[in-house]
Amino acid sequence: MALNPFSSGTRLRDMIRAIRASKTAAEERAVVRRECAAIRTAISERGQEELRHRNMAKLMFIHMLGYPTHFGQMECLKLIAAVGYPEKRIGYLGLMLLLDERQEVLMLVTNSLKQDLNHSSPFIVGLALCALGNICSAEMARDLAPEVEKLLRSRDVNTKKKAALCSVRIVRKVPDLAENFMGLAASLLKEKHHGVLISAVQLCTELCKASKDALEYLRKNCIEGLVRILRDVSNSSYAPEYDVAGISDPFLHIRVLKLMRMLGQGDADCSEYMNDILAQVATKTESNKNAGNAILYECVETIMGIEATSGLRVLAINILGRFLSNRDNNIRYVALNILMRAITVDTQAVQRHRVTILECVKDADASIRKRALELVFLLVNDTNVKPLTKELVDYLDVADPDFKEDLTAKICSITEKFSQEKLWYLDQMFKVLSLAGNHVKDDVWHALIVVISNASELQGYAVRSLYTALRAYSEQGSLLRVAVWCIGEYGEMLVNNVGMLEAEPPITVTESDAVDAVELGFNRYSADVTTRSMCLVALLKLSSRFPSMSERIKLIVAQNKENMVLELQQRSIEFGSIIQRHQSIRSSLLERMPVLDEAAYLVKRASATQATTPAYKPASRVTPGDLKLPNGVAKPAAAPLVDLLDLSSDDAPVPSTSATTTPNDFLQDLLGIGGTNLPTAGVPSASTDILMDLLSIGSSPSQNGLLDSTSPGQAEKKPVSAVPQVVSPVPEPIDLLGSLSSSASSSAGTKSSTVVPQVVDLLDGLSASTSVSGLEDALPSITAFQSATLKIVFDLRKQLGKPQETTIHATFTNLTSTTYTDFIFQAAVPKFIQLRLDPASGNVVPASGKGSVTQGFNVTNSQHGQKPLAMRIRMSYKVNGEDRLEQGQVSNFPLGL
Amino acid sequence: MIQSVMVISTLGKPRLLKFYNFQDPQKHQELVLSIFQLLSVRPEGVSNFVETDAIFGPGTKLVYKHLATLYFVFVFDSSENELAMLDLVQVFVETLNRCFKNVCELDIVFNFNKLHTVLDEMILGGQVIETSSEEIMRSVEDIVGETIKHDKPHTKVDFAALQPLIFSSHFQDRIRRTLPEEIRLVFEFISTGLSVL
Repeated sequence: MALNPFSSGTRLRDMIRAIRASKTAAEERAVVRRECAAIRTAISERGQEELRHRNMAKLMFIHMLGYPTHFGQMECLKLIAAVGYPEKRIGYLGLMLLLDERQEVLMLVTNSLKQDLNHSSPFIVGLALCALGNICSAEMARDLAPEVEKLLRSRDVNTKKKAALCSVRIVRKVPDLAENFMGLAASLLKEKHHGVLISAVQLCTELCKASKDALEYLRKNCIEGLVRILRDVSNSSYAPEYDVAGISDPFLHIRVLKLMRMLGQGDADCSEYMNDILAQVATKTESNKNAGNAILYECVETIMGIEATSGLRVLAINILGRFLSNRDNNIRYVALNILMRAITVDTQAVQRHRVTILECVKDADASIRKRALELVFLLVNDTNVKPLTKELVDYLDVADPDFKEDLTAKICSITEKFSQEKLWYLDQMFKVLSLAGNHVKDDVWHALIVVISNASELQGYAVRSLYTALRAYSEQGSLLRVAVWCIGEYGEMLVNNVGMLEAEPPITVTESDAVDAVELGFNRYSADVTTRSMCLVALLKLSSRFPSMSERIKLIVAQNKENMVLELQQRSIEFGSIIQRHQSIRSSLLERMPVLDEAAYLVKRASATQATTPAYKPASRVTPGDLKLPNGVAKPAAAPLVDLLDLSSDDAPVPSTSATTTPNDFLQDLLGIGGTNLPTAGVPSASTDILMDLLSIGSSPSQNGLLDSTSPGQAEKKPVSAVPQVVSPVPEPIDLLGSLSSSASSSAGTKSSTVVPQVVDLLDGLSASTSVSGLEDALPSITAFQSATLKIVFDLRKQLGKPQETTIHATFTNLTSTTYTDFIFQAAVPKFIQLRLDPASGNVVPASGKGSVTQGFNVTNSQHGQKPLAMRIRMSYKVNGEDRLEQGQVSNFPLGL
Repeated sequence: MIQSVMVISTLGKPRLLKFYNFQDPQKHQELVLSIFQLLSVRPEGVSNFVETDAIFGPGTKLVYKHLATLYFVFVFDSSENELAMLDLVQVFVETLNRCFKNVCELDIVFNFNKLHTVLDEMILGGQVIETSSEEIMRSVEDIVGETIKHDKPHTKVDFAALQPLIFSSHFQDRIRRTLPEEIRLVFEFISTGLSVL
């Protein structure tokens, strides 16, 4: 053998030494490279076979260090195919480490495995079972399952337990095979040997997961056996070698309890059968050692999982209580874990441990803190939110810097979710901003600004509190931003102490102080571009609020005319010129921001955070009521309602329908939301649209058919047939009554005397509806847009079997007396919707509704069922050669599109 | 299910790596590093459980024991009992202790394949197979005894074991298409050798 220490003749030991002796990574790489080269040579040369198994051992070591070893894979196969046991052993070890189930080479080994599974030596069988249990693929599982089945009947305990675990892997890969194993698995439970029992119980558990039949079979056949095993194990100490800290075989205990949970879940008979033994385990197991607690932990989980009696549940919750007060961190950690799960079963019981859990939030152990915080978050409700939040906010001051981010996020989440009054919400947020402003996420302080903007009577208080907080905690980034924004907007409230609350301490702030605060913020080294820009805007606004400060502000702004950041430079120059040269428009230009639309912001935020934070419960924050702020100011009435329906618009969904249409939209939406108050809503000043909507809301198929019956062809010939109300508003009230009454024929009868065309239409619709509904799902039409000049009606169709897709047929009607030319309709949808527009029937819309243009299009909602359809539309056209543009948002699509 | 068993030195070197769910070999070192970074910052006396959702996927945790210069790490998913896993680490360490008479890092470095043998007698395919260190020791000793008995290396490859698979043309095509070059050459070598025979 060569003497060169790096030839393939080196022993494994020497190679490891050489690698360990390497002082640098490069040196280590060189050693490995030389070894690999030598091994490659040895592989390709004949006559080196006796080194094969040493080389394989080396390769395994090299593999562990993270170097590529694929060239050794074939050597593994050769070693496995060798006759001797030592070769096979190292070969199988290599197989499990260097190869995995995804490699094609693996199928070469199937045959060797098959032979070894049938080998006379139990050692070789053991090796093969072990390898199969670790890397078996679905294909191998099918090929080798009969062998493994046979081995389950073996008399050797080692073989039997390995075969059982091998079956676990086989069943996991090919669940269909479960039935072949269930009889054998049940009979294995009668064994005495603990290793076999553990393996058998695990096999049973896997079978329950894999197949319903197996679950039923095992429920019938092995529940008695399990109870007996558990009783034997917990009563006697007949197996001293399985004794862990005075408890007899905790592992077996745990496996059996786990299987019992699977069997007892949703099965009252099984659960009842287990009650006694579970009670016995729960009461008799000693809890002063880890092993005992492990059993109790599993026992509690099982009691929570099965249909246990209430007495047993009480017992379980008490055990958890004991766990929580345990000194051992591990025990407390698992206690918090089960409480998380128990909260869905019994919230009250968990609430009892609230104080202890709150203590755990302050634990030194990061794992425990994290768990406890999550649990507290789940425990918060309307009654305990104030004390809990106070505790958390107080702790924020001393919390670990690493933990502050989590803690801040949770506090913000809690205050937003449960704030019953605005003042309390503002106070908590100001505290959080002061203590951990650098950890507050953008959307949180954006929301805060929205709330302040809406709370007109608290704006003075807010700006003064923020000003005071800023003086003490100027290093907190988002505090600075919010404070600067408020000072800019409500500067005069700060100086004049407007809207003082009763308990509020008066402060004296001069105009110059306010400007100082903003200037200081601007000059903070930690302020980023966003903060600086906000400061500049605030200064500009202050220049209008405090005319006396105007000169000074001009100077401060002017300092940035050469700022390196382009944005700041540009703003500074623009603002400088506003202050200096445009005195006349300055005050109107720098008026307060209009009240921000709270609902719109919430909607936008919900859709933005939906993907990222699953625990956020976005659905629950869609409605404005969720922020439970009863003293919000009155808002422009219609807008939020429109937006309510628009759950998914990506941009700020300020409704751009012109002011004249607002009342219509409002009513429409009311009706669209739920038809319960149909008669009252329809009566007072019902405009044509409302009536039409009333009709379309109706759920009886005949009415749907009526509106759907307008085929595209009909619409062109008789443009207003879908919307007869536009032409002759007189008969509509009757129509309304007619369609509300249950029988279609009687309604037709009452009307026939008054108006002819509509009745014909109605009847037409009825007859047509039957033929149409077979192919397509009929849906009510909607008025997508209406202004003084233009009206758009959408006919909606759904292809059967394609719930995501909606075919929309739009009809455009000109309400003025001038013809529109060059009419173009455009639509935009959020990203999750796909839109395909067909060409329009023409680009001239005749005047006074004497004809209309139609256009079909198709939308596919990829998040059907989660997000509703939403759309923005834009119509451009020419009137007497003059360009006109109208746009709007369609948010009154029926639910479920 | 147990996902992985690792022994990592306090300097961040892997001493034993075993994955029961496939992990790309190229990622192994990253995994070791990220786990080491998690563990090395944990002070004494805190709980032995760390959540590893970011490393091994949702619901996974690890339990570790820090003994002398080694971290013994078991990674497992939500179907395992945390406290039992803690005991299992104890069983593993106890068994090694019996195996090597006061085990130290060097024993583990130089006998990593024996460690694998011990582990294979304790955990199979991510499921616990035996929890008594005495039983495990007995099996391992039997295996070692069996190995020594046959220690005169057999170099003869049992070609018959490979034969039927190689001869089926379906397999041959598939192998030629999919195998990496080096392995394919070896394979060609064997199969041509066989067809000559």
